[in-house]
Amino acid sequence: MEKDIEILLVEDNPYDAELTIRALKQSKILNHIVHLSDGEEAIDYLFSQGKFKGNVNRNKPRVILLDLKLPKVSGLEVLKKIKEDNELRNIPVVMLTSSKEEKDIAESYKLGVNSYIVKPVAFDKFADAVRDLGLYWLLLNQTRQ
Amino acid sequence: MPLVHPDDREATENAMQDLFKPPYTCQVEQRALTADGWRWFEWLDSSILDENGNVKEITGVGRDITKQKEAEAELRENEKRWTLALAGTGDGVWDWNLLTDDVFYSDGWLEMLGYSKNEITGGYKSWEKLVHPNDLPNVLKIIDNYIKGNTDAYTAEYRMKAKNGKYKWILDRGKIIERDNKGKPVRMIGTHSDITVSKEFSIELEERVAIRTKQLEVANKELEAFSYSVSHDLRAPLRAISGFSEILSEQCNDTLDQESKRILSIIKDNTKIMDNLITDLLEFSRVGKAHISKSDTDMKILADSVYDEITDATQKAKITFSSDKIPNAFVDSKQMKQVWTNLLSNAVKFSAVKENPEIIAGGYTEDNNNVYFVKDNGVGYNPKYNPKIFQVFQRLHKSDEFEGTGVGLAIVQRIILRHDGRVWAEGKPGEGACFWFSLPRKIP
Repeated sequence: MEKDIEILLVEDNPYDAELTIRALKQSKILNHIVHLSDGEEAIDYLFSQGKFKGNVNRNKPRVILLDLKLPKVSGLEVLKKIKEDNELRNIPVVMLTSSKEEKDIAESYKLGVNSYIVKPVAFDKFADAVRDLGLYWLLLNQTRQ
Repeated sequence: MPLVHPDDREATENAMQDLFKPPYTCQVEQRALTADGWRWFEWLDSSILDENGNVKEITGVGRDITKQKEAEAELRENEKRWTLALAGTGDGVWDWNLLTDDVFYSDGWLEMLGYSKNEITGGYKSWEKLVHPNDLPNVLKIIDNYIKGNTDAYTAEYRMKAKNGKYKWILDRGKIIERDNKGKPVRMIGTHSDITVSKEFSIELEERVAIRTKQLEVANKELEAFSYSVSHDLRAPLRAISGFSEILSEQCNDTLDQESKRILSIIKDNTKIMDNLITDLLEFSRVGKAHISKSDTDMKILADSVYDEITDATQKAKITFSSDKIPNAFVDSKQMKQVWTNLLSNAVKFSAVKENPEIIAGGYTEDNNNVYFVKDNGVGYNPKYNPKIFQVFQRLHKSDEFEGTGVGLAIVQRIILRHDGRVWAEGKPGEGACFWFSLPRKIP
């Protein structure tokens, strides 16, 4: 448990990332957080490949907050990879997105997403959403282990 | 002779010359005057010679051939009529004997493709050779189906190779006109029409339609990608503006003066307006694309539940709302909920300034349509804006008077039009407004 990564945030927009991290911080649930900014990095990180090849133990965060629209490899593809992997599939994935596009929501649930947040423009609502979901999944995952 | 028709006298005289030289017989057809008027007779005459070889006597047998002559004349007339008709249309005729495989091709048939008679020989195969290889299997299937009795008529369109090497589009129509005693087809006759011009024109049209469709599909895809990008990418900067100004006002609450706080709140309010605009715009484009799934919908329940949803307790206490006699509709209930939401929200918004706001949701049946309306006694509008009121982003009030993006009524119009209905409005400044929509009734 010493150096476990508790939250992996995959978000390409630096301001959205900062706001998310702030929201988590405000709710005092931030222990260890890793922020990656594209889908390829996220996959490399989770599968110990590419620039994370040296890692002997695979990174298994407690919660993954995943933006839907990411450069190089999309959030949906990352989600698919996670849910197809035996060791990773139990990690709760929360999809973060800007829109209520039904197509995106349907696709995410088909791939096995655990939650789905539409990032509201108003910061207070955004903070609430992030805090609630982050907390919920962190607690749930702890009870499971 | 005086009894012979003047037109036939010369021919008769000429024919009778034969009676005085070998073979000393003659056959003549002539009209003669009888008690019944002019009638046709056929005469077979022969001479009896004396021992010196001189004509001694002439004997003759005559018979009345008037009926036969009339039939022949009618036949000729018929044939002339058909020949003229076919020449007029430029069509060609074929006549196929299925037992002997002899095929007769008319001059028109040959001319159409530019061949002469001796170039087309070998029965049915002579035709088959000229049919475009891509069209042949289908044509043979059509003929086969007709001959087997699966279809009532033989009609086919296919390409045939003309003498100049080019293909012509042929409309081929035929019919079995003779069968043997077992019912097996013996003879089939048909016509060829040259439909190259119209066929090529329609092929060109089809190609153009296909190209346009493709272009529209691409445009639609682009539009979809555009609105997708609008919903994702245009929101991100707004989140940053709103989020960081929120953080600023929280963190620096003690150090900021009144004016700075006011400015920060203007920034936040405007990001909210921008966000609403994006949401409504997306909704507007979504409504245009969304699939319509119709079901019988209780419009009264829908209107009541919408009103209940959009008003809080204070509003409910102030507004006199009534709804009755609203006919059911056969519509997409999700989209119709949007219609009632937008119309009733407007009514609530624009009547709020009145002392005793009153809103009526109603409807009735008229001919093949159901008509619905939402009426309020609010601020109303100048009827000169009627043509503009359903346009997207069209607003008739200043933004500090009433909130809004100018998309609500445009969405209403779009949904109703997609249900093959109609929208219209009535208003008077200061006296309220009424918004109507009609929907075709479900035909049972």
